[in-house]
Amino acid sequence: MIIDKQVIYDTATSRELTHEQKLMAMAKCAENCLENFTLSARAEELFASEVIRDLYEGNTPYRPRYILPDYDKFMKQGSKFLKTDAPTDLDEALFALITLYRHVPSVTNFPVYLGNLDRMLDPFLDGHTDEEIIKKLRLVFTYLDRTITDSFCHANLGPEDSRAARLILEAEEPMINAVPNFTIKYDPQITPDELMEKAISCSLKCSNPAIANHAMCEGSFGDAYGVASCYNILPTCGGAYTLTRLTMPKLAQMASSVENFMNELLPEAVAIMCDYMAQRIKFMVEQSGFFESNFLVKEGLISADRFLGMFGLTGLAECVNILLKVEHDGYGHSKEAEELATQILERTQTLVDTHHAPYSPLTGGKFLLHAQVGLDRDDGVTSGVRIPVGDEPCDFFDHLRHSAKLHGYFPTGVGDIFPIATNVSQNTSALLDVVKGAFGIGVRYLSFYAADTDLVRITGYLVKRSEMEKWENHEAVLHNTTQLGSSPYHTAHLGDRKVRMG
Amino acid sequence: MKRVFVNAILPISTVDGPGARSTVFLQGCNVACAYCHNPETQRHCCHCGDCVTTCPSKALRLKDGKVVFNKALCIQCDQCLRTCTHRSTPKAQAMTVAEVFAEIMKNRTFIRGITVSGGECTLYPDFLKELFAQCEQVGLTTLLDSNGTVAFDKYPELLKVTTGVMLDVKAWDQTVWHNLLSQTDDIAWQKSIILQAEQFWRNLRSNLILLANQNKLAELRIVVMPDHVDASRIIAELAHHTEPSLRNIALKLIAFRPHNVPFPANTLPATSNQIMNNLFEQAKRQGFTNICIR
Repeated sequence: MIIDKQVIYDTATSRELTHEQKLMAMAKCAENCLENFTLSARAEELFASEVIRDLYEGNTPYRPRYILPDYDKFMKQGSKFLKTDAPTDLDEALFALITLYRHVPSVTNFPVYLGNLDRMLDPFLDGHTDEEIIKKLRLVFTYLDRTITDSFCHANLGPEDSRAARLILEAEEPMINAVPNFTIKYDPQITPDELMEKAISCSLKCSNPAIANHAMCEGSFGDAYGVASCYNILPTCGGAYTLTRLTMPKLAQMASSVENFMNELLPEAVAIMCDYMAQRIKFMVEQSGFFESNFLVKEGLISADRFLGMFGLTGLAECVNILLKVEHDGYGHSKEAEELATQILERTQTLVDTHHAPYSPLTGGKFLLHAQVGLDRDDGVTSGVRIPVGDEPCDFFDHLRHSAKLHGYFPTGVGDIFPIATNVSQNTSALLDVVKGAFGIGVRYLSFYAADTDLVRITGYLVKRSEMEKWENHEAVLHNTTQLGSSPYHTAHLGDRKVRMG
Repeated sequence: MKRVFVNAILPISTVDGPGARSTVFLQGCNVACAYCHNPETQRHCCHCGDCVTTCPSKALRLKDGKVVFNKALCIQCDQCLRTCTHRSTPKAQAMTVAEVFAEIMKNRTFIRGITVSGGECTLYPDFLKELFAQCEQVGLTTLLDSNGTVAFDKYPELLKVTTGVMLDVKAWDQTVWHNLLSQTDDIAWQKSIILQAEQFWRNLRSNLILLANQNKLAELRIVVMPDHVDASRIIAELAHHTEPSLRNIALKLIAFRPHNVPFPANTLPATSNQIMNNLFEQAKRQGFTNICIR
């Protein structure tokens, strides 16, 4: 590929990008001017028509897409490479963590996973008052928001109750920051109602934390899982090599019939995608040198054995409606649409399982499905397996029942986002009842924000409406994700999501 | 099987008791409060047919002298409610206990209980008793909203299966009570309410004691509407009640809002924050321990 000098010039001289954003964009240009993969003519066609998207991972994979270090191990052993001793008090713990975060790469160049913060910090809280701890936490959270300039960054809490969990929620609530994302791992058998009501109350004020169905997520990788980036559920001490995604509606548009889609187009697309991901993984493991030279690997904070490839898909709603030739009252409403949706996912799962994922012993050599939540240019493609905005069922419970039928297919991540009527903050146990019910029937992940908040969840990551306005007025903005979020916010009418519990 | 008219079943409500609850609104009330914010629940449809002519989606028609509602065609615009001059709705459905219970059970996994409201649901004590008994058997808590005008001591079996009553204390002074409850231009009905008003007032007083004694008072509610409700007096009288003490019962002070209320209340302003705060402070001073403003 010939390097596009004009693009580089425009990037370097942009008045709307920060220095860091320019640097990363130009690095991407350099990476992309190499050709490391072999694509058949048909594969090229599917990429060109955006049936398959590589999600900006770049042509020269020199680091895994998502890295989830074993932070618990780091807290016990420190790091030789970073000349950081294992922390012995709270200040040392916080500094050790933010030092390590600086050196955890990902597809965004920033850490996408910050660890189970409450579990890591709780042992260091004795001897400090609540006020002292909250002040330190707020300083660190502010630091993270201003230096990790990308909201695909995720800290975890729970499922156990702890002083740390409560203080983190208390510290976080008034800050209303886009970074980091928080998820609380929730298991009604482990997590007390009182803590969850605090978490829900917090989310109605600052759009964090989201809630993961711990029992369901644990099923994938045992207890050693983390929620990273937007809502990816991945093994800790490992992560994901790559995430490629299938844009289902574009494939459906090529289909002459449902049979043609299921028996010809889908198998072909799955084969091409799995081959492409296998090539990416092989490059990363065999050529990039990441797993030989990176200190995270050398010090046992990540292991090549614990990475996997994510097979993403998106736009199931439009895909089903196109195949059924309906515009409304299809996906999310009719029995026929529900059956077709399930059949498509079953078929996709079966097909993906027939392809070998290299260097993925944790998954038995298989790729795992992921409900990919969309790209900035997605138009007419609803995120993952969600119901399109404007077409949501009137009944909140019907909506959740629909999600429950599909969430089970996506061990590496799927989730629904709901704006909640503001008066629910006066009855948070009501929303907790709904979460319990939803998780009980198989919903994997939920996030809520107050209907009138400035800080909204776009497709999984957080962005402020006020920041988007600045970007749309051609001002520079601190977070990359403000730029990314602006387009889908408008094209998918995310501001018009149906408000629930009103 | 006995049927009652059900105005609506909301699969989820967050304002009708703690936790997530389904709320059943029964049609029909025995009073006509000046501030009623759902006056379309007060009376039963008299089949005058006025609403049929104004329905934009043809969901209503007259058949054999009765208004028939086709839910499938309804676009929920509420034009029929605005057209109706009889404080009613053509959309209420006659349902059995089994049918209501089946609707509730569709969402069993998401709710911790049900609340029955209305209208005045205690006009149907047998229906309530049977419905609540079935709900209790599946672990659902049972709350009911009441204006307290029907004497609960006549229905001990109902109380056995009721987790709690959210009781309106609409007025304390008898004159205020009579005026507040009889705001309708249906003269015959107004006369009927006035004739029963004193008995209603006595029933409310005895219900307060009975429900408190049996630990069935989930909440006390006062709608604050200056010049129409003696809210300060109500609070003081409730606070001084000693057999038993009512001060630890949740007290909800609800600001009047002129939304969906009948004339002339719809011309009046919403109750100010200052008045609400003053009443809150009074309740606190007088010993209430659990007060909230809505």
